[in-house]
Amino acid sequence: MTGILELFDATLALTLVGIAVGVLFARDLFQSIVLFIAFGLLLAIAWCRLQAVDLALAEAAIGAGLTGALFLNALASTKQNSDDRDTLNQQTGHRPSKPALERLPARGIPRWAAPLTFLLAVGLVAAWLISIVAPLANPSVAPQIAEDKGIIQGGVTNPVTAVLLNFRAHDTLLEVVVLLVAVLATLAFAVSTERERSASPASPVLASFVALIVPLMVLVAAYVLWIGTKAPGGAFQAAALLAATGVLIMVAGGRPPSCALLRWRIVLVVGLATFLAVALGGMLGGRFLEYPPSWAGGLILLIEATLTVSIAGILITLFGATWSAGDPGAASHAGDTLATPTTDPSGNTP
Amino acid sequence: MTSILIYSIAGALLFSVGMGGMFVCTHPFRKILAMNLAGSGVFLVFLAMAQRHPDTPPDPVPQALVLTGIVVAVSATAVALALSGRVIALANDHQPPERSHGAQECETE
Repeated sequence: MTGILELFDATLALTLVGIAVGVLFARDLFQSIVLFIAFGLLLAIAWCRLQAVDLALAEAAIGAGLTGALFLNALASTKQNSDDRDTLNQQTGHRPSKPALERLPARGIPRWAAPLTFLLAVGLVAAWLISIVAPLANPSVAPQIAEDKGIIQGGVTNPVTAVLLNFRAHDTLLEVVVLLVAVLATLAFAVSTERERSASPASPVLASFVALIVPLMVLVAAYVLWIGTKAPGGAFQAAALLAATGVLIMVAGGRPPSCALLRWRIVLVVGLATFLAVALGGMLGGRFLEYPPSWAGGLILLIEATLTVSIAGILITLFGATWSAGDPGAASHAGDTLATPTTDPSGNTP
Repeated sequence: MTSILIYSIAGALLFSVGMGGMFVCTHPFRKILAMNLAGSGVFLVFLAMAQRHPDTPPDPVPQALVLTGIVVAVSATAVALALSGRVIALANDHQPPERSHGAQECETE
C-alpha cells in the first residue's frame, strides 16, 4: 500500500514540476494562466497528502481560484488596451507597430542566469536532503497541542486555528495590515479606476446561476468559518469563498464596490479594528494579544468572523480595482484618453 | 519519510524553476507567474518539513505560516499585476509614430 502511495506522490511531484515548466514556456499567455490554475489545484492535492487540509482549502480557493481570476482579468484588460490601440491606429492611419511589451528593455538578463539558476537548484536540493536526513532535533509541537490541555486554553481545538489566532496571533494581525497596504497600493496603481464604468448586461444564464449559487456560497462560507475552530476551515478559507462570491457577482454584471463609500471602508477595516481592540483589551489583565482563558474561544470566533468580512472585502477590492472586462463604456473612454498621446507623443506623461 | 523526501525535492525544483523563470521570462505577467511558482515551492518544502514523522500529526506552526503566506502571496500578486498593468498602459501610451524612434529608448528606460 505504501508503495502505491509513494508512486502517487512521485507522479504528483513530477506533474507539478512539469506544469511549472509549462507555465513558463507555454506559447500563449492565456495558456500559461490556465496551466497555473491547474497547478494550484494539483498543489492542493499535494497538501492533502501532506495532511494540511486547511491549506488545501485555502490553496484551491485563493492560490488557484482568485490568483487565476486576477491574472485573467489583468490579461483581459491588457488585451482590451491593445485592441483599442489597434482600432485607433486604423482610424488615424497609423500602421500597427510592435506590441508595446516587445519594446520594453529585454536586456538586464545576463547570459549566466540559466546556469546560475541550475546551480542554485542543485544546491537547494542538496541542502534540503542534508537537512532531512540529519536527525531532527526539535520534536513536533503537535502532539503536545493535541494531548496537552494547552489547546483548551487556546480556546479552539483545530491546531492551525489555535496557532493562527492565539499562539502566533502577531503574524495574523500584521498580515491583515499587509493586506490593507496591498489594497492601497493596488488602488493607487490600477489603470482602470480612471475609467468610468457602466454595468454591462450579463447573459441571463449566468445571472440566474449566480442568483442560485450566491446564497449557497455565503452559507458554506459561514459553515467553514464556524467549523474552523475544531476542524479544517477558518477565517481565511471562509473569506476566500466570500470573495469568490463577490467575483462571480462582478462577472455577472455587478459593479465593483467603491472605496469612496464610508461603509465599504468600514468593511475593510472592521477585522483589523476588532483584532486590535481585543489585543489591547488583553493588556488589562495580561499582555498584548493575551486572551483571558475562559473567553478565548468566544473572542477567537469574534475575531475570525470580523476578519472573514474584512479579508473578503479586501480580496474583492483587489480584484475590483482592475476589473473592466465586458465594459463597452470603458473601452470607448479608454480610446479617448489614448487618442492624445498618439497625436502628441512628447508631452503626455501623466 | 519517503513522501516527505519526494515533496521536499519537488519543492526545491519548483523554487528553482520559478526563480529561473523570473530571470528568463520577459513578459511581466509571466514573471509574476514565476514568482508564484517559486513561492509554491517554498510552501511545499515548509509543509513537507511540518510532517516530521509519518505517524504523528503534522506541526501546525509551519502550516499556519504557509496559510499566512498564501494570503500575502495573492495580495502581492494583485499589487504586482496592477503595477505591470500600469507599465503596459504607459508603454502603450508612449508608443510613438515611427519618426521618434530615438526618444522611445529613453522613455522605456
